[in-house]
Amino acid sequence: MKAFLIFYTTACNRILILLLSVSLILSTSCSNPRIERTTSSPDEMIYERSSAEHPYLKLHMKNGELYVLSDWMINKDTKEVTGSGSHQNLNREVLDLGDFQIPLQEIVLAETNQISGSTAVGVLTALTVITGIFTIVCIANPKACFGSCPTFYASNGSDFIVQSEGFSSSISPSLEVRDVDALYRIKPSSENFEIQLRNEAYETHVIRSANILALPKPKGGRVYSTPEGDFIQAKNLIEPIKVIAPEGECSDKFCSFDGQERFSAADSNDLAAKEIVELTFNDVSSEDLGLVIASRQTLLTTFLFYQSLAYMGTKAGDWLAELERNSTEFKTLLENPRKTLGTIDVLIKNNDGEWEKVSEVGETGPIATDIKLVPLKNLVKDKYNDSDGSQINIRLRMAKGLWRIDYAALAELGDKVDPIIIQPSSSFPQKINSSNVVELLNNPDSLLVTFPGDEYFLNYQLPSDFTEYELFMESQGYYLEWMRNEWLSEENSAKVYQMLFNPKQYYKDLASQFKKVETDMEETFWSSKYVYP
Amino acid sequence: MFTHKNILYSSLLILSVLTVGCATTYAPDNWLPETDKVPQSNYGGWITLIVNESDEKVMQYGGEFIAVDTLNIYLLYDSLYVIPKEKIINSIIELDQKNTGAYGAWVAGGSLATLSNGWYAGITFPLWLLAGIPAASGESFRDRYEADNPDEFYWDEVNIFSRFPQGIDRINLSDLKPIIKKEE
Repeated sequence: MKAFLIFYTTACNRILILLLSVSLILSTSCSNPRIERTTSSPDEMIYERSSAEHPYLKLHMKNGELYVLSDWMINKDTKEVTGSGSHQNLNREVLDLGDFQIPLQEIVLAETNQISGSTAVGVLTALTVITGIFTIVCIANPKACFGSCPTFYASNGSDFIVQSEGFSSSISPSLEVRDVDALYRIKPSSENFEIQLRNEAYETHVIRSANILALPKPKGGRVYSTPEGDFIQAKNLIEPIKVIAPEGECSDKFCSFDGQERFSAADSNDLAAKEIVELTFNDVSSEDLGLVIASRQTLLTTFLFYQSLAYMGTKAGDWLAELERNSTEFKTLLENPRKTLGTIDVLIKNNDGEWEKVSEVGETGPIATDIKLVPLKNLVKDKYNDSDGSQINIRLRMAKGLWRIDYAALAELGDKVDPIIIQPSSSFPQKINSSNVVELLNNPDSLLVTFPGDEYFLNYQLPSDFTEYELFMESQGYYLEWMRNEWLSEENSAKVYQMLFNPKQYYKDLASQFKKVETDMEETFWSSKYVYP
Repeated sequence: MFTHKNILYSSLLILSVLTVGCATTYAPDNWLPETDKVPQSNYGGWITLIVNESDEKVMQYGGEFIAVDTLNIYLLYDSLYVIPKEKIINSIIELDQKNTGAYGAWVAGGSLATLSNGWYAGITFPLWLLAGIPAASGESFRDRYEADNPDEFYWDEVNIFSRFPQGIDRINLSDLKPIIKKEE
């Protein structure tokens, strides 16, 4: 496995070497000549007069003298060549300039040269245009091109896939949080478990810890984390028999955790406008039920975050410094735009038949799909009896165009369990700037700082009966977004204040701007095959 | 996965690869005409010959390609050199100045520019490697006629690039003045 890791981490270099090797092999085959020289006796010359392709004619004389002519013509009737230019001796000193009429019989050899266009210039121009197009796309829509937050990759048995993005909402030191993401689809093959930590964005990631949490699975079931941070065993999952969204029935998108997601377009007039999706389940005999839901965000929040930074412009540093100095006050202000946009509200009918919010779920971040459990204890039992008695209806309320839901299921809840915290035991590379990576991550007073392009393999020692455990990634830290030149032109402090104090209007004002890029943003981001959900 | 750091390092590597992978030019700086000036150039190409003087001695000669006759190659440097064909073990003829340096910088710059392509650099950066390097490196190989142990077919082919492709039967080569003086 170690050999695999080394191979994996050096794969980029191997690909690079391969590409360079292929390039060099192709080099000689790409050396098309540009100079086509034609020589013959003048009466056999296939070209009879000057042209754009053959502007000059050189006439080599018996004694080594040379005529270099433009506007030339070979007249086979008069048996002479006419043209204007120079007459040179064998040392190529000019003997005469002007118009010449040279009898064919005095000429030994006539020569013309045709210069064709440069293949290299054509190829490089094409590459420059392609690169330029992508640059323009990225400038117009930066998030379509750059990732977000620390990403954790793990093996699902065949490939290393993104499993978690850490602390996506922690954009400054004072917003540092602990983030827990389920490694739901990974299949450890031994006690030695590897996670790859990457920085794939123009960001500085400051990571305090990166632990694996192991929780005992119930027989035939799984363990899920709740929005409140608890871990609950669950089993007997049943998928919805019907899902009604504004666009119609879409239960096929919810029936398995397979990357087939249900999402919608944002509202054209208000980015915080809500939509409702109603899930219908067959009756379940258990009284303790919970809703399992796998989701991630669209790029809407990313757009909003980047737009906010653009409005901060050159004063972004001042704003973030203010956040650090008055973190309590500022955090309260930051809650305004967050609450206005909201997460996924889970609603169930109360005794009066009215829909009532019982919980909310949904993490910041567009890359990794997170799976959570929303306990519905003591609520479902009362509710499904007064519907038609055989079905359970649950509503999800969320901002239009903000969430991608991959899976939803009703589960029978088991025990609440506590995690075994497993710190990384080794890393590859082992050190960064002479500091031991594992020590940095395992010491709560130290930090691992990563920059764009950095990647580490972290190794964990799982319990010997590792197949009996559900694994979660627990990371803590924050990140600092790098400002981009293209953002600075939009500096507008009034809009920042509007975001903090009047977020409803802020989201309405930004709606048209987002709708212009929404389709391309999603398409370009995912067609780039940067990561798979 | 192409990371930005890799692209940065790779661009430096590209310059190194191009330095190693490109054909060397033997002509003095600015001696060869620019490609577009070749049609009105009145001199021969630049010829570089590796000559087996004896069992233990190999010499390199370089100069303007003057002529070919049945037995010899004539080149002009600080004086006229007459080299027997049978002793030549390698010949290179160059016709014009190449833009390899400029194209190399173009490829390196273009590769670096893919940093602004974000994750699309995963497409554009390999494109620069696979197409850009051959284009830049190929520039150094074009219109360059090289042969080991050149035979008559080769000399017949390259004769047109000499100053006197018509032959030297009626030319007094002793009148030739060197372009490059000995003191230079």
